[in-house]
Amino acid sequence: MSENYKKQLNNIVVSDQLKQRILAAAEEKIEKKASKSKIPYKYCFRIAAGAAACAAIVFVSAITVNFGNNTADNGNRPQNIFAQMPKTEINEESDEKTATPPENKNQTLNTPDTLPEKYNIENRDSSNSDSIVRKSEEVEALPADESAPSDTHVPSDNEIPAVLAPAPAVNIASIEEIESKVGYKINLPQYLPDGYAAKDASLMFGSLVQIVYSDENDEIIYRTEKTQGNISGDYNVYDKTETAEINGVQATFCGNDDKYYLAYWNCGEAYSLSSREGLAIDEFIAIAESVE
Amino acid sequence: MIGLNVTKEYIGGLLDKYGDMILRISYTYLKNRDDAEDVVQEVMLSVVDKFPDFKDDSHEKAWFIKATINRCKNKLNLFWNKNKVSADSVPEEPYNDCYSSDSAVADAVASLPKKYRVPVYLHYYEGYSTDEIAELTDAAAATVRSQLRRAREMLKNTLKEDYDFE
Repeated sequence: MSENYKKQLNNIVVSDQLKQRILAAAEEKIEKKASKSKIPYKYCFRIAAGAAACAAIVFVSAITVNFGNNTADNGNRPQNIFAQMPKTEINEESDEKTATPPENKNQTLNTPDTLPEKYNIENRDSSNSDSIVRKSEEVEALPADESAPSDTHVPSDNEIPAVLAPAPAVNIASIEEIESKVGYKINLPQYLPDGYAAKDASLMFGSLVQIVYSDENDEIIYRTEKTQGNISGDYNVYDKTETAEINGVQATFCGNDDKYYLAYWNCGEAYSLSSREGLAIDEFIAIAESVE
Repeated sequence: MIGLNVTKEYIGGLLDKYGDMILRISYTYLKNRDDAEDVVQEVMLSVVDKFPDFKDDSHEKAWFIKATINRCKNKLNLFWNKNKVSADSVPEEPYNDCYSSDSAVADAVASLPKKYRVPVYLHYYEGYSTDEIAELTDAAAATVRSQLRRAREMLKNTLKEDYDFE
């Protein structure tokens, strides 16, 4: 060992002034965090609102699925569309379809006399169940699964498509628990902007690690998974896309105006960071580079 | 939640235990007293934010070393990104020598490229092996050995008879 070098470095010590400054800042930060934890109703309100929204979506989708199963096709199809389409002459022997052009441009298109009755939509009687797609008796006779609307069904404004079930996520209490479940060491950001703290950790689909850091106004969602690609779940289209080298690999940063909302990169595992309120790109770079 | 309950006394204990080490690493990396002191504060406040759960003393010390090195790198990155100017007007790396004495050794180490300074500190002051330094700095062990060898060559050229790095 170099004695001269050691002797020199021994001169570098934390002064009392620096120590007091750091302890004062730490005390202030601890008090701020403690006061935040005394307001649980805000957090509870969010949970309750989220649960109510999920319940409403599930309820409406259940109604929609039942509504779709019980609805016949013909009653919902807007018939005026077919009335405006050029009529087609059907040759039943050869199965060829040839359009019948009007004799005169000014002549209104009418149903050709030769068109078989069953293809004449304007004259269709709903009580006559001889429909193009399916007879109503056949619909009633089918098991429930096969009576689904046809591909030409145009949903009305009151119909809401079914939604996917929420992703299965398991809340986790510690990094050790996550690592024991996924079977490898998890890298975490070692730097965060001032005021952010870990709020929640979860393991999704058994392999996607998600940690939410939050301050008073924003949330930063950090994800990592032993895979490649963009695992952020954020598929918004952003005005700006920048790339920068993070720990030897290329990272992509996406944002609008002067704020960035998404960063993702692959370095062995896939990583992503997303901010709800947006951050300066410098902050994103600093957070990404601190992941270890 | 992850971690344990943090109090002012706990932070004070960590500061007494690791504050000097963090300051030395930061100063070695940044060569600026004010920035080095900022890094000490940031590292300590990050303990309040993250509540790290230390397995043992060696894990605790390694955590502080890694956190310090990362913050030093962030400081340099932010400085670089905020000060992109033409090559002619780029200022030289700031060197606040409030800590220095009349030591040729200190000057020689400070003049090394920064990628050599931290391995030199960790090996010759803290006593870490090259494998341990590789783990702390996320580098390959061979890279660390090469950096230390190159640093010793440069220090030998500079210090000559004052050279005593074994």
